[in-house]
Amino acid sequence: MLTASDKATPDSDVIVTELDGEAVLLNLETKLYFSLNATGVAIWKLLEEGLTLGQVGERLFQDYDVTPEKGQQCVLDLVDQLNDEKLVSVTRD
Amino acid sequence: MGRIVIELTNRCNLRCRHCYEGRHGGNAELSLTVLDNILRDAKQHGFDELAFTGGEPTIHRQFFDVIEHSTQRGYRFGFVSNGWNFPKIHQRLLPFKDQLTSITFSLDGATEVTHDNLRGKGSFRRLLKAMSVCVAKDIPFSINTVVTTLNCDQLDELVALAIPLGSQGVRFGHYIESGHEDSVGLRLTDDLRRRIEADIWQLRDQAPIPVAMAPGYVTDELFPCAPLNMEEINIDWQGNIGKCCHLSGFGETSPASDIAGNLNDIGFAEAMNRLKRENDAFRGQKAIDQQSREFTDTDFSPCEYCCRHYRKGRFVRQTAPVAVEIPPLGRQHN
Repeated sequence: MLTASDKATPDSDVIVTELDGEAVLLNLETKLYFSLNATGVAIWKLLEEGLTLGQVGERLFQDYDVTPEKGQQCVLDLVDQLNDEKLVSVTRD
Repeated sequence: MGRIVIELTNRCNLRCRHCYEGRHGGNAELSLTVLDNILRDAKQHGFDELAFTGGEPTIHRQFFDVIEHSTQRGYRFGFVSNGWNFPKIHQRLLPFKDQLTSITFSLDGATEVTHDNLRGKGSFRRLLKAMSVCVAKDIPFSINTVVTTLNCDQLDELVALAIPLGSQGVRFGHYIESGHEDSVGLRLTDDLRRRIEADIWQLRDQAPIPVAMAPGYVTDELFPCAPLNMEEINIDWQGNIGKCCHLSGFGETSPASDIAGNLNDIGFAEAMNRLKRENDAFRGQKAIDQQSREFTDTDFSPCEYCCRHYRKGRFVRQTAPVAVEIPPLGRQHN
């Protein structure tokens, strides 16, 4: 179960290609492609900055009419999927 | 219908160890005037498909004009690329997707280390970004691999990599020595070449995607090449129509003995007549040579014979081929 204090680091074996605001991820280990929508790309970039999942949620949704809880859950859900597909490595606080 | 291979430029954004510096390290490109002359006449001679090569064809200064002119004339097209700048340019390609047959990406190793060793640091990841774009935009692509001592033990892994990446197929081709200092030791021995060829035929039979080998493999067939059968013609960036798919105009003789004509000087129809005449002469000579004692085992590789016949690539055989140990094919493809 992920929490707001966890960090998720994008795996160096994932090749990210941005396209029209979205992105294609290619996992070199599994040789599988994934796509991220614009929000997913924004989350990915914040993860690259080394922020905790909580900080990612705050930064991402501060300018949007989204409740903090809902924004936080959005980040956790995506990172959970990314972790399942070995696209990120989660570090527990 | 046949295909015309057009070298758009001798410029390239990479400096691969196995490439020909003199040919692909330049700064020149095919003019649109010559291209338009080709486009005007080639269909009447049975050609409806164009394959652009280089150098790196996508860095021709008028690459998208080339595509626009070609498609306006009703030709289908494809091109070879190292993929380096493809994510930047792909948007401009999308309007022509219906006429695009396929992009052939050059992948020279199943691993980042091997590919980058031959093609330069970062080139593997840039290429996979290009493939990612193709998958996202539904652009067909296939993979071309030059077999060297550095990657000959990775051919099954390479096919296994190509499948999930979305490649429509893999085509292997033997390396012909480039004369680069960096290229010393890349050429396989004749024995190893034959073993590699057997491995490739095995992969062809087992893989779920097409696996092929470019002419140049050992064969009893005297004339296996599409150019010799007038099914494909090759035009370089200067407008020369070559008699061979490879290294035309890049030999010891001057004027080059493997150039049928230049499209700046003669029309397409005349060039085709010359090419056919000279191809017939070549075929006759090779048939005679095959009966002589001087026709060696190496000459059963058509590219080696062609290089010797036309005295192309003075560097060919300049360096000693290297014997390497490779394990048997380890992976079965279902």
